Amino acid sequence: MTLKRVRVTVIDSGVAQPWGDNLGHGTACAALISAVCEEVVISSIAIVDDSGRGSVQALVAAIERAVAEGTGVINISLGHTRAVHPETSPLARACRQAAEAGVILVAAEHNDGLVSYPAHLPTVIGVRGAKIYGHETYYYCPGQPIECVARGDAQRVRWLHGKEVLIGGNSFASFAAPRITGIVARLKQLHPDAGLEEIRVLLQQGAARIIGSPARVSRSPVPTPDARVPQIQRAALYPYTKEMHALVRFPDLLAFRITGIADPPGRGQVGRDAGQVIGAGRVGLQIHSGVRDAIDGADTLILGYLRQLGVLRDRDLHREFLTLAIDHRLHVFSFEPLREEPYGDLLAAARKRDLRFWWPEVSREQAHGILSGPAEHGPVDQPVLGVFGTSASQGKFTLQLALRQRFLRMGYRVAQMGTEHHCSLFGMDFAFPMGHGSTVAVETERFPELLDRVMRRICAERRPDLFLVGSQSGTVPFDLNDHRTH
Amino acid sequence: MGTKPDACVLVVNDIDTSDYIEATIAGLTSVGQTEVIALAVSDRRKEVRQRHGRSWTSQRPASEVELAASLARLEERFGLPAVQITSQTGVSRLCDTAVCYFSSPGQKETS
Repeated sequence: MTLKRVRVTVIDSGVAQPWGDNLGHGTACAALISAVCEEVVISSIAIVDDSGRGSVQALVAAIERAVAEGTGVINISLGHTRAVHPETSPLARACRQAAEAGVILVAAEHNDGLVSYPAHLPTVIGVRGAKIYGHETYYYCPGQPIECVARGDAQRVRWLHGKEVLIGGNSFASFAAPRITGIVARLKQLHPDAGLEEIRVLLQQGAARIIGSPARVSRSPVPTPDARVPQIQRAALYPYTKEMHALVRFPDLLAFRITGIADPPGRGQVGRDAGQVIGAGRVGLQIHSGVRDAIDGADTLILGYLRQLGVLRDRDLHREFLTLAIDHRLHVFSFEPLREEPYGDLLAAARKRDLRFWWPEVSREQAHGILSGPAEHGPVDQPVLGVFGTSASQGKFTLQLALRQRFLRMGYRVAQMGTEHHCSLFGMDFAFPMGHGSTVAVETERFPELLDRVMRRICAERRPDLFLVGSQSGTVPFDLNDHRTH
Repeated sequence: MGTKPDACVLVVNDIDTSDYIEATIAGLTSVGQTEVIALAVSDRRKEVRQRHGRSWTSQRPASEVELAASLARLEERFGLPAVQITSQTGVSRLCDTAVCYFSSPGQKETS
């Protein structure tokens, strides 16, 4: 039986014979592909200039052209590390259309392991380089963005003018990808109608080793301060301060419904609609003057900053509302800590009734757990977008939530950490309440290391498209010489 | 800081002087090693009041005219997109700015 030769397009710097290549990189890729699968017809589309640079637009056009010319497999030993929308970006669209046309795209990951495109797109077989012995040996990582690991250590490759050069390091992905491309070409030869998913199954079957699986690679969850959070279904809020406004303004970011709101009389909010108070339009929640009226139908009471309010009224508002919560079988989320001293009796009573009273904090023990030992995960390689401000009371947290809402609607996988006490209520990955009423028991100079480690772990576990971070005011003081502005 | 953002949005007050905003941008760029890609303002306007020798800041909702003037002034002065934080259009523009920033034509990095 004669097998049909598979056409493989090398999108790179060119291929010396017969197209021309001033760099050598594309020539080496083509030679490696031919070494693994002799029965291929190599095509070349050069998009990289003599300095080794190219553009995303040229890459997109090259993929479209290769598909139009009827290629079977495309090798892309290049990429970029800017964020790419997995659905709507031109590059993602071109790769998806290629996959839908039955064309298999194989792309090299960034040599330093950074998230790079097109290798990390779901319609592309991403390849990592490693020190693996064997011309055609590869490992397969099911369910991972980078599915294949092939030889990427120092090796002799065909270069310009018929010469061979020794090139590469320990993880040179550029020359690992062509090996997988060659194997995919062979599989396409045997299974001409196989699409991307069939090729993935065949690759897994032929791998020398299967590394991990979606189930095996899942690690322990990020140690958030809110590991004790019970499932909230219906919540009542008190008092209706600016922190609580965000809960009303962004209901679609909450996994629960707000069923009642109360605020102390005398602030001009009682009796009004909670949405209208913040200029967000009617939400159908009238603000009560007493917490007792607001908890009807709720399973959780969310308490904001009460300490100062209690001092002004000469009452222990925490004790009053915790007692109320126990009597009405409500869980309590408190912005401020509810310590054993002086609330041990109430905490014990809550435990007895299987009620959860919890608050966000980064305790010394948690911080020690995060900071001890060597860093487990690689550096954060996802784009990080911050929200900073020139002062307090500007709406920085509102903006962080608005960005979260918008990016989620756009289809991005968003990781997020914030410095407000109620971050976790919005589904953020980590709350670091370092501002007013801070519950972070870590020395300031250790903040960067702690935050870096938490971000690394979140990125490793969630592989977000984007990481949103926020800050309290005073990042840049108004006057360094005046401590009051710090 | 500590989160080392690649880019950031700076929320400013309409009472902030241009010099202070400029100094903050410079501080974020140099110390934070992050790039300010857009500015944002609240829909509430701050006013500094003084009486009997003391001063304080109060807030009131900003009118559309005031907001438009404030955004135009910021865009003209700093050459950055400026939006209002509770405006759907504004937030959408911020997201587009961020996506555009992070996905601007890259370079050949894996070869």
